[in-house]
Amino acid sequence: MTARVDRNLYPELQRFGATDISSCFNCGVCSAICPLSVDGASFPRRMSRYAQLGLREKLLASPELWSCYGCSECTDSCPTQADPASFMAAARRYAVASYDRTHLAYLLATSRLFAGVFVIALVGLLAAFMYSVHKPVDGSTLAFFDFVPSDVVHNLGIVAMAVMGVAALVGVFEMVRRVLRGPKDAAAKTTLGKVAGAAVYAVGTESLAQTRFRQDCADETASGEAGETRPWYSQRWFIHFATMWGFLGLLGATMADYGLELLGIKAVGTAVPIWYPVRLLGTLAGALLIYGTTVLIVRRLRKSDRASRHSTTSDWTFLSMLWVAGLTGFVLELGLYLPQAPAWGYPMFLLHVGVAMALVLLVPFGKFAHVLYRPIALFAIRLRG
Amino acid sequence: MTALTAPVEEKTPVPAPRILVFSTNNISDPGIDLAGSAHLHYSPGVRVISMPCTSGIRPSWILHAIKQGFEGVFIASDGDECAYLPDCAKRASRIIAEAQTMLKAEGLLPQRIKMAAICSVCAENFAKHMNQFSEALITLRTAGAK
Amino acid sequence: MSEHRQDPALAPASAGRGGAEDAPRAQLDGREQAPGGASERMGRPSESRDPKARRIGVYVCHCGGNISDYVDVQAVVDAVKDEQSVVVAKHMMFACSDAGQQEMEDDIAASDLDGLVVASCSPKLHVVTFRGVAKRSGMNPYEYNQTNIREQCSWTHTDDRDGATHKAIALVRGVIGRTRLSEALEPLVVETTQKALIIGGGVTGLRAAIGMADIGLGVFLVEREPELGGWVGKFGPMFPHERDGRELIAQMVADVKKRPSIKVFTGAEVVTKGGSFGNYQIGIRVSNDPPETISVEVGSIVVATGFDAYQPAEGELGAGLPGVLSLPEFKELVDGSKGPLRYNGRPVRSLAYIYCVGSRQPDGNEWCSRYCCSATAHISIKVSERDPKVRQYHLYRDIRTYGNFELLYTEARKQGAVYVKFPDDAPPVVAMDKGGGLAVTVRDLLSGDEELEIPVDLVVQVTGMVARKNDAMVGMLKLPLGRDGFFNEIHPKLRPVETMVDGVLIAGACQGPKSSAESVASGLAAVTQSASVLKKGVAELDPLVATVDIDRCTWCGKCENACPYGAIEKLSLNGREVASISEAGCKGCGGCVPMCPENAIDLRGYTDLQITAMIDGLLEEAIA
Repeated sequence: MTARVDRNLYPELQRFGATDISSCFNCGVCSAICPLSVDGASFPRRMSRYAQLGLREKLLASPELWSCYGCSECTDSCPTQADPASFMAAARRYAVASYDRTHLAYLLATSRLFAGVFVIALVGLLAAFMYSVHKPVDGSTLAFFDFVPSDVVHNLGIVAMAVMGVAALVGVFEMVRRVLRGPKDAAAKTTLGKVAGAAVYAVGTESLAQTRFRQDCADETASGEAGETRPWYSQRWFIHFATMWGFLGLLGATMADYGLELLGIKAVGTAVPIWYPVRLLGTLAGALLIYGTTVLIVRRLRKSDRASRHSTTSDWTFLSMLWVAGLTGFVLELGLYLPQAPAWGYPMFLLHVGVAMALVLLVPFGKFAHVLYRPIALFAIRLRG
Repeated sequence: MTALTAPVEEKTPVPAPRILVFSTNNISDPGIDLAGSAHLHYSPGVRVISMPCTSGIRPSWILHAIKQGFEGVFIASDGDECAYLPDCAKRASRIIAEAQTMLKAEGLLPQRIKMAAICSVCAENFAKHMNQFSEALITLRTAGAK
Repeated sequence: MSEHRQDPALAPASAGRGGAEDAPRAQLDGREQAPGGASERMGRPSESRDPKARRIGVYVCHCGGNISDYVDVQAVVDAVKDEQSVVVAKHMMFACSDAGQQEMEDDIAASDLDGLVVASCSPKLHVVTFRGVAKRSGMNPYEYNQTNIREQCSWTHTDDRDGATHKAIALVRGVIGRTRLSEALEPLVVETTQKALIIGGGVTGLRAAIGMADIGLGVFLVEREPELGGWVGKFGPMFPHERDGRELIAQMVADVKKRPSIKVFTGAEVVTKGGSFGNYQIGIRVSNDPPETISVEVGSIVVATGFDAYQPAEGELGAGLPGVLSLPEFKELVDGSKGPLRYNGRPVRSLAYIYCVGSRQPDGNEWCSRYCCSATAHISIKVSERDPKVRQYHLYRDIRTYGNFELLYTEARKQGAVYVKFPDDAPPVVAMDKGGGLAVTVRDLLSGDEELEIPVDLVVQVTGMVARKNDAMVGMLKLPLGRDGFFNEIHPKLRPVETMVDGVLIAGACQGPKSSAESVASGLAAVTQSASVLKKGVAELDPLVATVDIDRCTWCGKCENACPYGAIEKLSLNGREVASISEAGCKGCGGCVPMCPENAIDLRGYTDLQITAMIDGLLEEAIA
């Protein structure tokens, strides 16, 4: 099948941060050096080729974009300084924007000004809405759900989830229909067992357990010297693991808290002993999330390791929202135990809920979208065999 | 020196056919030299006379060589590279045709004459030609051909 | 034959036949030597000499161990030492060493040798050396013969000592047979005119003209077009130094005008050539009104007629479609405009270059023109500099940006040029696109043999150089043509601007694809080569030419037809018609020899008797 070349693809990709690949002459050192690009896979090289040529649909139909964890070993090895790692990240941003049909993802990724204004406005809007329905509180301790009725918060959350869900479904559909057009092994039969196996692998082994990130991706040394590896708590996979599980833990704790209220066991937002299971989960998860996001932010600020050398609007938007949501949540938890309700308690609550909801709403539109697309891509690759 | 008085034939079970090669000073002889520089092997029965151009070979020399005991004559021509005569390969072909007619008239096989273009770096090509021609001449000999 | 002609040991022209005058070695030995004695000996025609009475010295070289490790050199000496007319037979460690040469010179003097044989390496390496030995000893240099027992014996039979030794004996016997019949010869000496004709007023011809004038030679520069400058005169900036071709030529033309010894003829052609090496009479037709033919006399001729750009056939890779240009046409478009590129009034936003159009074709032009990859990278950069948004697709088979031009390739890629390698057997297809533009379909080997359709505004066919057709000039100057139509030099490395026609030199792209820098370099080589011959006022020619036995000749004209150099003509002699061969005109190829039905022609050094004797010698294997 003949693929039509689109001369505009390359300038578009440049807007997403792919600035160096014109010097790539497709030697394939990047693919050869990549510990994940094995068994006949040919990324980043082939992705770079698609981009240079202007094969837009081929690029968007490539699940390999999501195989990469951005270790930047390819960039260090590239003989022409084409920075394939940054290109892969840019191509993922481009894919997220292309799968989104609202143009929001495009603006968020390509305009720093828009992203900043939009996120602040969204958070502000959500906070303002909640403030508009607030009730006076005068208790000696913090009572968030007396301040804003829990129904309002929960229903708003449900709406946000629903909106996000629709956008996510559209995005996933856009991705899947393209991937399905990609190369298939006609002889291989797709059995239910295979599908289940691939799903378990993609979601469980590689995503939740971070097996390949941990085992295959090359970490780097603290000093940049060969031979030494960083302690486990400092390695890239663990930072990502902590951030991911911190977020999942907080999500789980929030859901469980709400569940307990629905079951009439305990009202949300009430102070419970620290050993209370939901509270314990929330506290530990919050600590993990704050640890992970803080390290990520510090590394990006300092550009201290090769994977953090280049940061874009998408990186900052996503990371800062996660960090603010995690930190405010943690502080609010502490606030509950204070004998006196602090003056910052309720504004911070509005900020926390606003940021958390904005985070949820923006899942399919920014860097967070990898939570949708990566497992699907890994599933597709696994199924292809 | 007694060994030298013995004919070459005694050394190997199948004695190497003696082949006279006509080469050219500027093109094919350097190619043949290169085969030596590369230590490529071919039969020591091969002996080379270098000329300015293969267009200058008299057919009678070829007949004389074969009648005197050479089993084959190989013309290492310049192909199209000859700096003297652009049609030198054609001229050499005509000379060979004439020599073959003379051979036939004497009851000798025209296959005893071969020609191929050997360029100034065609070392391997030359060695290959020599080995193939030697084999072909041994086959002729085994078949009892004249 | 190269070593023959450039033999530095040959006597200067004035020496005539008396080689003995500068033979100090013989005199140092204090031998009795009647004045002219050596000359007399050397002057003896071979026919009158009894081959059996010759006095030949045979030297078998060990070449360190290169020969003696694989050949029993003592056995070779023993086998030939008692041959008829062999007076001295020795083996030595290095025949070419000073000691080796001295020993030979001593032997020649002591044993009154009149023939010398060295069995050693390839004659290409040491014929000059050993002819020098002969000459210094008062022996005619052409009485020396060499046989190659290294490249063609010891090195190729390293696995067969007996076989190699037998072969070496045969080879030495062959060359003894030849030497018994050798003749004393003298180089042909001609006086030369200290002027040169340069045909072609492009960058090569102009630079050569300036060089000739500066070295003190008169120049006639003939250009067919009304203006000097050739291809380069039409070009804008050229790689690698961005020098504008038009400015470059303007400066060279000004330099030519400053030199009164250069006479320029534009709108002119060379129409006749007479005379021979050193003194050619040239007729130049100048298209004045009315046209006139001017006659000039020159000692050498430099042909610098350049190339033609390959013209694709109608339909070849889209040739003929609107928006499909050849590289020279595109260069003209780019050089002749400013600002963002436009074609036919429309902006050019994307273009595809198709490489190797008409080059490296198995059934067509097989060669690579070599400059085109670099020229295309260069023009791609020019286009990007004017409008970085233009997408440029380079569809290629191989990129050959040799040397520093690799930097152009890198720069072009950095500017965003996309290089697409297609399979040799699947060239791109160019067709009209829906919107009125062009669409190029091509397979890209780098994306897993993906078939691409590239919509573009322009297609540039990267065409190479082809030989310029000029049959009349080729016929007149007897220029040797290669199969590719370009002119052939004698040897691309050792004699890169000389042709088989003495005094006729070739330079620039008429001898094969060249960049302008390479063309100028070869033009200057032609200057040096001309000067080395003309500045002395006399030149020597190789005496190994064809001769006619007029007693046998019956004049049938076959030899005249066989000679492409026009060196043979009919001569009336005592009422008989016989062939006469011009010594200066004969190139020594021997092509006439087998054409003679009367066997009346011989090539000196390769006579019928000599070759027959060699064949016989090559067959005698056992000790006689």
